Amino acid sequence: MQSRLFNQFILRRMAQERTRTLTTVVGIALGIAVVLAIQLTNASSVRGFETALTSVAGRTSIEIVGTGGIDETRLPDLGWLRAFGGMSPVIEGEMAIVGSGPDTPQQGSSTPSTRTERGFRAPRTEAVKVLGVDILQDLTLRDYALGEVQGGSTPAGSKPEGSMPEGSKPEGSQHEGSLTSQQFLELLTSPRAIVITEKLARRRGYALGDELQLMAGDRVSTFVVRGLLKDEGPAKVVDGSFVLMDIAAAQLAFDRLGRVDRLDVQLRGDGRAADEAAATAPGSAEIDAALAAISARLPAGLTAQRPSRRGEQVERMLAAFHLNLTALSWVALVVGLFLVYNTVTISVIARREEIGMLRALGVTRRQVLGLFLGEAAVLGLAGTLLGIGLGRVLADAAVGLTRSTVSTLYIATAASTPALAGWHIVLAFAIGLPLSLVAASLPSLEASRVPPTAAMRGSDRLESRVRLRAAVLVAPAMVLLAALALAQLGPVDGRPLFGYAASFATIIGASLLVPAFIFLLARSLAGPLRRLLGVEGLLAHANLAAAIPRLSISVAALAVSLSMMVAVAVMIGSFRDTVAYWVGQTLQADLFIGPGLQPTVGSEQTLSAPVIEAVEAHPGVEAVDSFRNIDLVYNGNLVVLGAGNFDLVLSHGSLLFKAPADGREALRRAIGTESVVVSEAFANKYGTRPGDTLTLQTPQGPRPFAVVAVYYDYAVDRGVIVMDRGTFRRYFGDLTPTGLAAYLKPGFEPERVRAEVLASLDEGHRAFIYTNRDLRAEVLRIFDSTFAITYALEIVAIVVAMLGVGATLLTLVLERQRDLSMLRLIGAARRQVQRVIVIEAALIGAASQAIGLVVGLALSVLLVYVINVQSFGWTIQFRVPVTFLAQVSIAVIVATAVAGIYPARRATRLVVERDE
Amino acid sequence: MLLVLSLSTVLSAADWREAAAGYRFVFPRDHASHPEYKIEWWYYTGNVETSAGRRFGYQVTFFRVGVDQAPENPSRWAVRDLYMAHLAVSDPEGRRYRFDEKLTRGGPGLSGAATDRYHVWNEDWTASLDDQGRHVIKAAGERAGVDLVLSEGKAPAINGIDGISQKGAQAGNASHYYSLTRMPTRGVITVDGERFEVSGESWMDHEFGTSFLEREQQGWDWLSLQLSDGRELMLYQLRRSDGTRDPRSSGTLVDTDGRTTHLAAGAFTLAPTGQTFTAPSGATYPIGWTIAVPGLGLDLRVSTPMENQELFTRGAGIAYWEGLVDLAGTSRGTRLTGRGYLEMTGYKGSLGRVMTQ
Amino acid sequence: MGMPLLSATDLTKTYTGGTTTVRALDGVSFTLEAGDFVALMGPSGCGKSTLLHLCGAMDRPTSGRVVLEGRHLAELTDDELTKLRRDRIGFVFQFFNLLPTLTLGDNIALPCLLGGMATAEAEARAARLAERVGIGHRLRHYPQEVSGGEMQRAAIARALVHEPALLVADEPTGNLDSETGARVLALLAELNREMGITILLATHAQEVAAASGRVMRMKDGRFASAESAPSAPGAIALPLPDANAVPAV
Repeated sequence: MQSRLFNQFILRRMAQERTRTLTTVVGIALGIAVVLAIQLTNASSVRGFETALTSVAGRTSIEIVGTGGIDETRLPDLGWLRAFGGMSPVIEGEMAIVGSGPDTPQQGSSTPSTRTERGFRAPRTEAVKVLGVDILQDLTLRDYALGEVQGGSTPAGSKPEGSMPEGSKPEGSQHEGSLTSQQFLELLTSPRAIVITEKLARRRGYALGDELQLMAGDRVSTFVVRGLLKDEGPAKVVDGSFVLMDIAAAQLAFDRLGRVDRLDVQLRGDGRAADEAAATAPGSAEIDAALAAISARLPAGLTAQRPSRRGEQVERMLAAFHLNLTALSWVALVVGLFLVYNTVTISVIARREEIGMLRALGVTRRQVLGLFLGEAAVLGLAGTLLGIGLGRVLADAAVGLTRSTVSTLYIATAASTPALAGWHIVLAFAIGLPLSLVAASLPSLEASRVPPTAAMRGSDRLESRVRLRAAVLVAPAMVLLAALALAQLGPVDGRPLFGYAASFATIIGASLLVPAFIFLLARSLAGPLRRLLGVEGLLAHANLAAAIPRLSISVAALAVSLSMMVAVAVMIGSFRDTVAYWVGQTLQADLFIGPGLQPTVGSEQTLSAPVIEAVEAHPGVEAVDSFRNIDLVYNGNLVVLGAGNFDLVLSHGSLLFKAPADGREALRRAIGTESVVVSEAFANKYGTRPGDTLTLQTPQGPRPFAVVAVYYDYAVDRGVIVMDRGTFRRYFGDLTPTGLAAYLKPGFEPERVRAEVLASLDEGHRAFIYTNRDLRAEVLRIFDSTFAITYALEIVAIVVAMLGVGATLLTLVLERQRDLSMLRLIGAARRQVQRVIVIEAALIGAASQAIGLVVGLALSVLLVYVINVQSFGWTIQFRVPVTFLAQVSIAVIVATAVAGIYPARRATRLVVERDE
Repeated sequence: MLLVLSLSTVLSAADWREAAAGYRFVFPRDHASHPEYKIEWWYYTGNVETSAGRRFGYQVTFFRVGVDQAPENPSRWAVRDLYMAHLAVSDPEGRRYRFDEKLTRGGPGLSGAATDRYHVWNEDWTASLDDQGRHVIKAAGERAGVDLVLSEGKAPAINGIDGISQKGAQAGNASHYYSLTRMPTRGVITVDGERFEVSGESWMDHEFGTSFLEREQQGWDWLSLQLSDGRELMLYQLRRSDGTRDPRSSGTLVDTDGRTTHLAAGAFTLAPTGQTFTAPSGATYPIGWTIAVPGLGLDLRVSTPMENQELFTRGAGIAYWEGLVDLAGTSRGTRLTGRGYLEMTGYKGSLGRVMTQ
Repeated sequence: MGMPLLSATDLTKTYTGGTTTVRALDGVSFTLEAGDFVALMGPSGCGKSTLLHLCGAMDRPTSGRVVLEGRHLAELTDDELTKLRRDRIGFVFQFFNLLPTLTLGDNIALPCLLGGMATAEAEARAARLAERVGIGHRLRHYPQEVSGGEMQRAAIARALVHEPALLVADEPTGNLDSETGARVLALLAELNREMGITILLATHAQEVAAASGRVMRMKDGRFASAESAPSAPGAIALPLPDANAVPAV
């Protein structure tokens, strides 16, 4: 009975009102899709890192790490670790394949100008994960399935020998189908020997014996493919972008002679037989016990941890970025849910008579409630299904938009969109269905309260004019007060949860105010509209004024998304101005020299001596400052530890100090002492002030450092600690620099010096040299690309809201068909009627944008002063981008007017009542 | 030793010093490493027993194989030498034969062989001289371990002629080779976690050179025997791929006072008795031998109380038989017995080609 | 005698819905002279509304032709029909069809405003006609604030504000109680008499027909007969409401 009723009363109607049903479904779908897409996108960056981590970790249960790596001469003293199981020292990093394949001519002879182009971003280069191991040790930890290998190794200076015929193994081998570890080692002994994956070889057309050029830091070296790995173990790293080399070769290529990145330990199961196939993976308790035992015995400066720890650190590092994206993605969903509310409300209002009739015929209230909730469920279900499909598509786009941000600012990741997992689908339904029902609950309840007498009331389709009562202002006022209170609260675990709550409350409060606002607007606009737009203005205003309650929903939805855009625009605009100012103040050097490959977490890239010498040797160079950045774990989080020449910063450079007042004096005193300066983001995140003492993990163990100043920095949100090069060297060793800043003598043109320095480099070295102006532009370019995704999310939310406006207008048009016909009968031309509807649409847009501007400015204050400070720790100078907002406002009004075109077309249909 | 040879095949002998006649050994200096030679090993075997008379055999070997005398890569991890070590313990009573191996590079001091004193190590396995001139060897694997102190006993016996032990027809295919033939031994042997206090007698070989075998040489059978009359006998016989005996086979007899007698190929015969053992690797080893040294009136018969003493290496993928043996026979008619170690290589596939330089 | 104001010749109109075809009009012809007050009578579904729509340029016939003031409606475009309706025809319906969000004054002025007349002039005209139909004091009220009779008077005023040649009324009293209906009818008769407005009216109420000058009965899409009403249009002499009187409805 109920299902039949549902079929006839709800489904048939939904089918009839195809356009409205479709818009709503698309609206929900977009909301769900955006949420899913952002989930997938966030997962892609962290998961990219974590899957790489897992495939590389192999059977590693515990890893030994140290700040800046481990001095390899400490390894013999760690022999006791063997009691726990196998261990293997590892060099891991990223290189870029230069050139498209073995057949393409080398790019080494390129002119300096092409060299400074972003070669590593050019399509011909591809980042690969490079693992350098002692294969003799490593086979207990990782599985490499060698396919084809090249014949006997030929060390430098000796003639090739035929002792190991190509493609065959020596007859003494006892292993069928696999090389012995010794033969594996032979493949790799040359510093230029590499083994790549079959996938990579196929993709780029490499064969055994081919040469390929890899760039690490500023060095391009030629390697020879000695073997191919099947898709197993570490070779499964992101799409097979994996290169295996000997640990010695990797040290040389990455310029990390003398140290290893970490020591991987495989726990041997207790009393397990030596035959490893039988060895099972150690349990979690076993690992914990071993961790405790190892930690107790490790010398100062070394830490034992699970490999997953690095993934967790990266996850935490990206958490703020991801949380912001997630929050934004929910805006589109909320707007989509407004649409459900809207649709069901319209459905209820439009069918009061029918509901009354059903009630008169004996349908219970609960059944009526069920019918309309059912409508919401059908919409939610269809929207979710469509959204899941759409989410995958949007995710690709979103990954594309965030990839450069993540890789520029955080981690190197060959991000590919992860596949939709089962839990994504569960998530989509868990969000889409209940929220649709919640959105529909109010109007459905209202439907259930329709009395049977409504059936008799005749044509009361349109509500009468609305009256404003002061009482309706109480709720929004309270919600807005709550927002104000929430904005005062601090972060939770480094996340601005209360800030988000305050934003949400602001949005809710403002939405509740929308009817009152429109009412006032309608009242004050009647005269001007008539004067400005004539009879169409009169009619449009009249129509809108009649439908305020319903319009309020559409306007609120649109206003919410617009306010988010305004807020984000103000925040980004302010941020951009601030960064531009900061860049102008702090970037003082004439030239900035960095390695060809950009460093990120897990991918350290350094400058080599020839490049540094070339810069220093140029007659125009007056002074050169070198930086060295390393990743440091502080409070369980990854921060950047930097070393610079404080003398040079004082004499040539410029830092903007936040505290103390005389930061330069503090910097001077820091030279030669155990002192550091920290960035504002660091200070905010860890509550650090000048005068505090930080305990840092140095290779010699934890050491105290005095914080002497806090400076402004907008480049690294995870926080930076900087010490003078001398101090750094004492504790962390004389590590090669990751960047140089050169100050020129007067009269030397930066562009020319740059060209001359680049021309003096040989083919094996590629540095990126920015002039001061280029770097400023680059900083802003990176800044802008960071926010590309933000705007994209905004636009989706606005599109959904526009759909809502279109759907609402269409409904109003359909409902008023008699009136509109009558207008046509009494002589309104088709165009006049269309103009009325389009004016209505534009008015909705204008009203929404007006609200959006006000609410958006309020939200931007929250974003700049609460959310940003709590999640990134940056001081942003508040500034309103007036021109941009004006442009956006016009665009919004035009866009909503456009959204009114289809309903306007429908409105001109002349419907005359026929003789029955 | 075959494994070592196979390791060395990847490299040319060009830059390495070749064993040449006229080499004068100086001790203890010559216990230490000779890195200018490509291949070097320190080889301990021994027959020991607990105070209750339970018998064990052990073998601990440290190999150094030169790969590249001057690697172009300045990294400490660049492979100049590969270090290999084998550890085997035989427990005839428990029918247990346990072995372990290591194959490593030097790296930042993880394995190595000192040149200024006798100290070779492969990770945590070591052999060195203590301050009283005793050899201390420690090696512990998962299922076998030795921790032994060995006195030198008799003076080093120099094998071969004029300080050189010729292995092939070419002049360079030779080694410098000496043995400590009867070393009083005391310490602990561990089998499957069980510790046994033992004492007995060991034999140490130290050999270094650059190229050893030639293409036609299939493998060898080697014996170190401690006779009950206080003498020791070392014999090795090189087998050619055509099944004949190589004329470079030779041996050394060490008198009770340590004087040595070189035994050329023609001075002895070494023949299988026909008793064989087919090991898990598929190789079939002749585990019984008869020895005749007519010039000395020696007629000996070698047998083993334990058939399966095959050592199968993962690192090099090569198998050989190395185990304790018993000895019975006559010397000029007088009955004698003895114990020793037998090594048989080249029974799995033809290694001659692989070894050729 | 000159050309008739409106002549309809052999009009047919069929509606197709699904598999069935309904013939609403089946070869109807008639003429209307200026100043006529004609009532179309017949039961529900007889085709009188359809005929009214065709004569009012609201719809096009399946076949046959309608000539209004010498113009063949079939030859006119949609926009020309709109202009014709706006300038030459006024409409009154059973449901008053006032826009609920406009005052009665704005509702009445709407056709003039849509025709592009200046606001002041349109409002003056609206006020004049409101006065004429007896709702001059209700100009600033919204439809839901006045009675049904007043709404219908406003609708009549709106139909006449642009001085059309033809007033088309479809059951103008159908939604009113009898007394109010009678007053509205009397108003129509008076406007016909005093202002010479041509009225074509459809009804199924005998007393309404009685107020007209001519009654044409329809059945199944054809005229059953044409008969002259009792000669005196004022036969149903209901008093016109006093301009100041508040209607009882």
